[in-house]
Amino acid sequence: MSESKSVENTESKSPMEKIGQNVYQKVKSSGVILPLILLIAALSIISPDFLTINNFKNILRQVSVNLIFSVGTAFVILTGGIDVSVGAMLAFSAVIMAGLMPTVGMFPAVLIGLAIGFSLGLFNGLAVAWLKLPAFIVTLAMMLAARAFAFIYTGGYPVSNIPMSFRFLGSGYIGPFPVPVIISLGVLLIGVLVLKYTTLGRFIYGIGGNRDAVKLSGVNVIKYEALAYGINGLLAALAGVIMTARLSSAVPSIAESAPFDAIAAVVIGGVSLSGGKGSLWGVFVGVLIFGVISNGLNLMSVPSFWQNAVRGIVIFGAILFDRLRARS
Amino acid sequence: MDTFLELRDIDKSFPGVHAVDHVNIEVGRAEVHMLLGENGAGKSTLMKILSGAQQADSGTIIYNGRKINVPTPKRALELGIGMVYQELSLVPTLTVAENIVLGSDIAKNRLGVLDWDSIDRRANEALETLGVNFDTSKKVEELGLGKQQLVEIAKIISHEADLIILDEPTSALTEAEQEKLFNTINRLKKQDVSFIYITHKMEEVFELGDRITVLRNGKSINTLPAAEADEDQLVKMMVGRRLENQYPKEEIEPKETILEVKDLTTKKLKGISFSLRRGEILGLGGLLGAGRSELLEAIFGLREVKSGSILLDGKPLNLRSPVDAVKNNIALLTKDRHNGLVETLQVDENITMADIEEISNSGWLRLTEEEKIAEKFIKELEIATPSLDQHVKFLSGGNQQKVVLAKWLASNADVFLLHEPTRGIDVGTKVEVYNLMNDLAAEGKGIILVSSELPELLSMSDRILVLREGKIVSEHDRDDVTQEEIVANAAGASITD
Repeated sequence: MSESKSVENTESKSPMEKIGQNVYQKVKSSGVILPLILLIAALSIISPDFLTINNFKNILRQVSVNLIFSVGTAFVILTGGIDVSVGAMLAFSAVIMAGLMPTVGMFPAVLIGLAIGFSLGLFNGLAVAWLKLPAFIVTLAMMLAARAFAFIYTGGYPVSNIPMSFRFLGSGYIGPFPVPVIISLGVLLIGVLVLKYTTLGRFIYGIGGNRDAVKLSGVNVIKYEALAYGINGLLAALAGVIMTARLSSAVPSIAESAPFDAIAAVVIGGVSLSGGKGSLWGVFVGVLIFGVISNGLNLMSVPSFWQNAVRGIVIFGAILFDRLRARS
Repeated sequence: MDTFLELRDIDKSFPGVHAVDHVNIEVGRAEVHMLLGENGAGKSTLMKILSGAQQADSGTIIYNGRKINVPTPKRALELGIGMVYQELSLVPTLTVAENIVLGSDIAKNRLGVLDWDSIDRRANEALETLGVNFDTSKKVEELGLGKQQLVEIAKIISHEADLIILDEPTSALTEAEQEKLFNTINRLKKQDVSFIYITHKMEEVFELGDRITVLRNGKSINTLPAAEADEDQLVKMMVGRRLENQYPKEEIEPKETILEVKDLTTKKLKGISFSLRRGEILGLGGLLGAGRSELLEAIFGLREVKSGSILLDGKPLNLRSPVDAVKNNIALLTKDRHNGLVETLQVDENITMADIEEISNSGWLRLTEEEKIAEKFIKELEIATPSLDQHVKFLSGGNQQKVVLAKWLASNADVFLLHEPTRGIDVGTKVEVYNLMNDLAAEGKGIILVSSELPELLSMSDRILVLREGKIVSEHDRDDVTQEEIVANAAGASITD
């Protein structure tokens, strides 16, 4: 790593170089790339099946759903908020979508599902930004209610009347690439562009950094803050679409741990819980860390009861590592 | 004077800044040592090193004849070094008494249970030493800024420190409170307590100081006895050049009316009427709580207007929020700089914050356009920053203030509401801000200036309105008014002597 922190003349670089350097900087500054590399190195030594292209494809497919809703959660956390209703919004929009699919058709059902996710998220956002209610409590209430309605709507049974062609979204391939991987990487890329190149992204960072200052600059902070939650709901619903397609059914109890997986990945990825700081590249690395761990533990046939213990230790270790690094 | 504290060759760098550059300072026993310098000169960093909040890269601290290490503020207090910060370090939800004894051991009895009688006694003693008296069972958040500052000072006194560092302690105090603070300092001096006192105010330097050290760009420029110093000389040392005029007011012929306030009534304001012309700087005088902030905030859409109207260029405005105000080209420079900046964002991102429409196209930012605008203002206002990408929190106070000003200049505002625009910034930057106000007036902008520094208010305003209890009590032309008249009108007293 180079020591120089001086400002290079950015004009002489091509846009691609600039983006490349930007990605490198962002990932490096998120701090968690090193633990990821160490993890990959260790698992490669322990398990001969780990370091194969097929296995990496597997990991990417396994993390794709997590990546999608973690990007959404990152939007919310960047504003300085929190959302624990991701899993419930996912389940609720997924069961409605699956339930409507036979009658209204595949595309309209998906659109309705996404719209429901966006609306639920926006409701959270307006409660937080406009009514000034605490985000944790608002989304906790949403978590309980949306999850309950998912059960009420389905009577507790999975909705499995799913057309075969829909499964393409969950288990299909385009060329050598699994469809969920393409979608999730697309979401990541769009998320990065939105945060860096749109007014929405700018104000999301601004609101997380100092909401009052943004407001006193004449910005409609309520709109932008609420939108961040709306996007989180939308991406939760999109994750629900893919999960439903993969499982060929929408299960009301699905994705219970989603908000916590998302928060853990976002924070491990270097996004500040108080908002305003961090990048989606870091979140990507955070999601990968969890994917790699699960994958490695499965390859080593570690009993599932133990897996969460390892996850807990990793979360703690990664955060500790990051703090120590920041201090030195 | 025997030397009590010696800072030897203290050095500290941050990324891109050599904050403290091999500084040597000696402080005698029972001395009040004034520390002067512009923003970013390294005063605060140096004092944070001495009080354990930051660590020096190199250098030695000799205290009471011994070489000491100060790894934490707690250790500093144990050694008898107490620092009163500019940003208050009180816990707002605890009471005055709890805050005063916070961090000390005596408040517990043998069983480890808090001994409330002794806590109250100690807190009251500390306040008495300061010569002030207020309810120690009140929560700190219920107190005004000035009283909070006094609690902070009482807290350090109660720790029986031998060396007390004060970082601009009077910036939030009233005249009377300030007097009490000075008396306390003089009394404690007699008990052999030493002080290091950071300030921007020259009167304090001469009233209190024994010796003066001037820092500039992280280096100590000179140490001299206060009796031998004069203001011009000190300013020159601080700024590095001679300042021609501290208040470079330019006479500008005011043009047509731009802003008109008619019978404005809010929760706190009672029937305020006045008008502001293009090219005019209108000063607002008054005591804390007289309604000056409220008036600015009402014009900026932050207060509910009960009756009355605000007209811009003759047409009435309906201001429901700052969004409406900024749309109508009204700018508010807040009293607290931190409300004007997003410190986690970059310099350029802050400059364009109120002007995002200019640099975006249906929601997409045009970053090259943004850079162009930011570069223009960085050059125009001479903002000292290593790059456009620098995060604002790494800039010095004066430069931060310039970024806030740049934000409003970039937004093409027509009416500038300036609330303490030079608060906490150094002499050199102050003059730059005054010149900027002149330029704005010359361009035909309307400016309302709220300032607690009377010389500034009197020198820079064309006309002054004095507020008391939400009403305008008097109006003065700049040519025939004295500080005493303003004070008397603000306080509601008549001049008798």
